[in-house]
Amino acid sequence: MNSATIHTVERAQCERCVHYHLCQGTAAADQIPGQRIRVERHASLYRLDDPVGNNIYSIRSGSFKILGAGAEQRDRIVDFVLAPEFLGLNALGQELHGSSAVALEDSEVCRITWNRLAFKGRRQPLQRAGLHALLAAALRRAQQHALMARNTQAGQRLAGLLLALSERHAAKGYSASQFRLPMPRADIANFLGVTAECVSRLIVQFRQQGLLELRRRDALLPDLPALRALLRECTASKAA
Amino acid sequence: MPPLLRHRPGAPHPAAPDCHSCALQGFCPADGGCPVERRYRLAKGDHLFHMDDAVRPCIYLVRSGCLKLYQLNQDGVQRIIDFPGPGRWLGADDIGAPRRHACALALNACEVDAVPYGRLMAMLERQPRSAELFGHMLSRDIARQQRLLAILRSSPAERRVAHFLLDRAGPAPAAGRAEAPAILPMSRQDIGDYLGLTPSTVSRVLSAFRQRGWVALRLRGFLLLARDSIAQLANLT
Repeated sequence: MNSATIHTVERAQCERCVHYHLCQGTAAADQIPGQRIRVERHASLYRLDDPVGNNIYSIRSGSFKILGAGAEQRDRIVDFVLAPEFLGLNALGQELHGSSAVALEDSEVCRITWNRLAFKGRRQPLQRAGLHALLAAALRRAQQHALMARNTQAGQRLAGLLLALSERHAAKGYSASQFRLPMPRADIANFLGVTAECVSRLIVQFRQQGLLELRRRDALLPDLPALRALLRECTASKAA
Repeated sequence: MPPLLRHRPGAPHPAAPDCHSCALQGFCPADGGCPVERRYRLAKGDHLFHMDDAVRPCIYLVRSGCLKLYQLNQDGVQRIIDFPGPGRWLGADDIGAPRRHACALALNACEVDAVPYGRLMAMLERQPRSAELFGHMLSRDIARQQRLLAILRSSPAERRVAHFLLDRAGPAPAAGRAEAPAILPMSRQDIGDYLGLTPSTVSRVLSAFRQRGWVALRLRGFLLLARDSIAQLANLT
C-alpha cells in the first residue's frame, strides 16, 4: 500500500487518447517521457497532505476511489473516478492534497503539469478551455453526488449512484445499461453512507424488482426507466 | 431578464466599488479593465436561466441578492444544489456543456453581472496567473461539493443545520468586531430540501439553537450569538 506499487512506464499511443487535444501543441506534450504511471490495485497515487505539485492525472485505464474531504473525513469516499476522467481537479492551487486517490484495480495514469510554473517557455501547459471544461464536468459530478446524499433512503442513494454511473458511461459512448462496477460493496456502502449489509440487501431487492443484475463486478440495468421512477417516487414521497 | 445597465467593453465598470465582492477579484489585468458586459436586475421569482436552456457562453457574477440553483425532475420535484449569493458566480459549471444542467432563480431582488466567456478567455490569455486563479476558483467549488456530500450523507440534523448557518454567515468577524446579521431569503422548505431534512426538522433545530442562546432568529434572517459553539457542533464527526 505504498509507493513501491507505483512506477513510471513509457508513454505510448498518445494519439489514441481521448484527451490528446488537451496536450497537443502544449508544453505537456513536450515533456520527457516517463510521466505515465502504473498504479497497482489498492495503491495510493497520492494521499491526504501530500504536496499537490501542480499536477493533475488523466486516467488512461482503470479506476480510483477518492477518500476524504478534509482531515476529519479521511476514511470517507467522496468520489469514484473512472478512465478517461481526471484525478486531482479538486486540488488546483492547493499546496497539499485534501484527499487520497486509491486505485480500485491495476490502473495507468498520465501525470500532467497543468500550470505555467513548471515551464520556462511561454506556451501554455494545457489547452485552457479544455481544462475549464474538465473542471466544470467534475463540478457537476460533485454536485450530483451531493444531491444523491440528500436522499434519505438507502434505496434512493443506490439508485442515484447506479444512474450517475450509467450516465457517465453513456456520455463516453458506452452502454448505459451494462458496465463494470470496479468498486467492492464495502466501498459502495461507504460512498452511500450506509452499512455493507444494507447494500447487499438492496442488491438482492433490486434484483427481485428487475432493476439490477450483478455478476461479480459486471452490472446490468435491465430497466433504466423503472430505476429512475424509483428515485423520483422516493423523492416525491419525502416532499409530500 | 431586463438589462439594468449597459457596459462598454473595456471601460471601467460603472459600479467599480463592487470589486471587493467580485468572484473574479484579483483576476483582472491592470490594462484591460473590467470584463463585465452588462448587468441584469432580477426581481424575486425571476429566472436567470432554466435547466436544458442552450448555454450562452457567459459567466454570471452575483453582486447582490441571493439565487437558488436547482434541478427539477420529471415530476416537478426540485433538488437544490446551492444558494449563490454576493461574491459567488453562476454558470461556470456549464462550460463545455451544450445545455444548462440546472435552473437559477432569484430568491429576492438580485443584481448579476454577465461576463462573456470569450472575453474572459482573452483576458486569461494575457494574464497566465489569472488563468490559474480561474482554475483554482472552479477547483475550490469541487472540493466544497465533496465536503457537502460528506456532511449530508451521514450527519445528524443539528450538524447539517450548524454547517448551513456557518456557510450563510460567512467568515468570522475580525477580533473585537460584532457578528453581522445574515439573511436567509429561502423558505424553510428550501433549506430542508438543501439539507435533506424535512422543513419541520429545520424549524425544530433552529428553535433549539435559539433556546440555547446560539442564534437570534429574525424574519428571513439570523444573527450568530455563539459562533464557537455552532462551529464545534459542525465539526464533530
